[in-house]
Amino acid sequence: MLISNLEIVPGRQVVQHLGLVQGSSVRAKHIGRDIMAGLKNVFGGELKGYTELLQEAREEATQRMIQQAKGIGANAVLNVRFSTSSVAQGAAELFVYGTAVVLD
Amino acid sequence: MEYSNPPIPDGINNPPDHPLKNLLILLGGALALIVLAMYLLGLAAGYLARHIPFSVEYDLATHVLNAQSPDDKPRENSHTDPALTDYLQGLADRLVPYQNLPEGMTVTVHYSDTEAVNAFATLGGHIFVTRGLLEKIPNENALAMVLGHEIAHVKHRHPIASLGRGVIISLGIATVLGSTGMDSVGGLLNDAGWLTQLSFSRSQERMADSDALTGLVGLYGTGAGATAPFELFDRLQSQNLRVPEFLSTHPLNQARIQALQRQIQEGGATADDTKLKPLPAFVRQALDERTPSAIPLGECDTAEEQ
Amino acid sequence: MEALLNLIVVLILLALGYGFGRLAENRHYRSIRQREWALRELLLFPERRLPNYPQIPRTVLVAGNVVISVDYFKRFIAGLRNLVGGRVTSYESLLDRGRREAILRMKEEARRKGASAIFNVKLETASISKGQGNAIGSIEVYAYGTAIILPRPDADKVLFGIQQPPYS
Repeated sequence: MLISNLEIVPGRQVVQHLGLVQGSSVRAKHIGRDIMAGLKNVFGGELKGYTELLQEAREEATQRMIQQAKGIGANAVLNVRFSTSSVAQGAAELFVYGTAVVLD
Repeated sequence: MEYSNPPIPDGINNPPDHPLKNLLILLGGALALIVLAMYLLGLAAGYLARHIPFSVEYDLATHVLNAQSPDDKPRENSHTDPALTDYLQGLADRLVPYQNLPEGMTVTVHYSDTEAVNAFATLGGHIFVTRGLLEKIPNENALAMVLGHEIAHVKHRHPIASLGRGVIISLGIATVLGSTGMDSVGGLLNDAGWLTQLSFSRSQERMADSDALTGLVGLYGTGAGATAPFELFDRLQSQNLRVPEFLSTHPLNQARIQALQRQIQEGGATADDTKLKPLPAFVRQALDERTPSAIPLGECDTAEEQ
Repeated sequence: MEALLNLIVVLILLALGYGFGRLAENRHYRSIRQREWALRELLLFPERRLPNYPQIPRTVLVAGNVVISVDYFKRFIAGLRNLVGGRVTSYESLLDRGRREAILRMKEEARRKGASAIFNVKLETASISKGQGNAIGSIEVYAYGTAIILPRPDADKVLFGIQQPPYS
């Protein structure tokens, strides 16, 4: 499965445009991590727990998008866009969507 | 080039789940987490609270007691009886030397003119004994056992440790639930936190029982009467089931009676019933005079002894 | 006593949230599937490049939005999940519903305008009211894109207002 945020793939032709596919995932870290992050906020710097949380969620969202693309017989997703929104305290939603296509 | 929108399979972004099963698992997990964290915090707070100087605790208690009854005079009359208070204080003062109280610690006994059969120790070495208890208690030895028990609580700083634990636990619960936005549940658990703040753990009760027995044997030369208060509570409990079992942190009275009997035997002391000393006549008299008075109940809300 | 009262209120809210929330969600999903099926002919693409149409199509911006809220039961579960950590399934289905509903509303608008496809579809999500404390109350999903209206055989007449489309 080819994932790209270009609209074309150099050297390859899009045979079929299959429309919108999307994946989303909402995740929360346990309270211990939340408290540690709260403490870390005092000193600044990277919040490792949250970096990890968002990355995990993003990967899962991408997996779900790929699953949708596979489900409709695509072999690539182009013009992919990621977006993040904080849904609740300590939980984040990661959303990714793109165009499912069949490349030759 | 071909354009189409084949239908996408359902359930990829909203995987099916069982909400109720989910709830049970989460409740279990969250409760286990909270209980563990609160237990550890409580232990730490109790440990730290014990290191607060007694003088600070005493001042705090004086403050609280004064704040509760700003106009001392009318309550003084309805709630205390100088003769009874003096008698109780005297008995406590005779017990104190056997308990090895730390330097600067004082014990103040108050008599509370209420129906409930109760005695409890609170902050600042203040011990409350109710009329109900004095009426039901069979002899002075048993009363000395009760007082010794409460003095031991004071000695081991149980009230302040328990208060510290309660405050920290309610703070902790408020923090945890505030951060998850479940404020209504927070209020609920907070109430529960205050409810249990001045209860003592079973090991604390055992400690107090054991020290009280030492004092009793020291004062009267016999362990007789040591188990009488527990037999009394046992009887009262079977008579009226108002206090739900889960609210009571006391070890079951039977278990405590057995533990005391074991300690009496091991210590080589006797439990000679003939050496029991009755309550002084003037105490009985004072109680008889007071019994018909209609005093509002429910003045002591932290029930230490049911 | 007060604690008991609070507990009862919480339990009632939970039961209400569970019952009505589930009912509403099932009904919403049924309606979503039905309308998705009805609007399947109207194509949807996130890409910006248009295919080479034989005639020059008219383009118009279409959009759909929806604000949707989670029930008490799911919010409670999400709160617990926040303690333990992991995937917050209560919000996942909420977002899924919101996105599909917003897209459907956009498609309905495009259908009213006589479009045959929507290109350059974009989705925006925002949590608009954060309820009590920091709990999420509701989310807004906004879907927008460019609808492609192909000229019909008698399109020039329609476009230049000579012949009004018949209302039926």
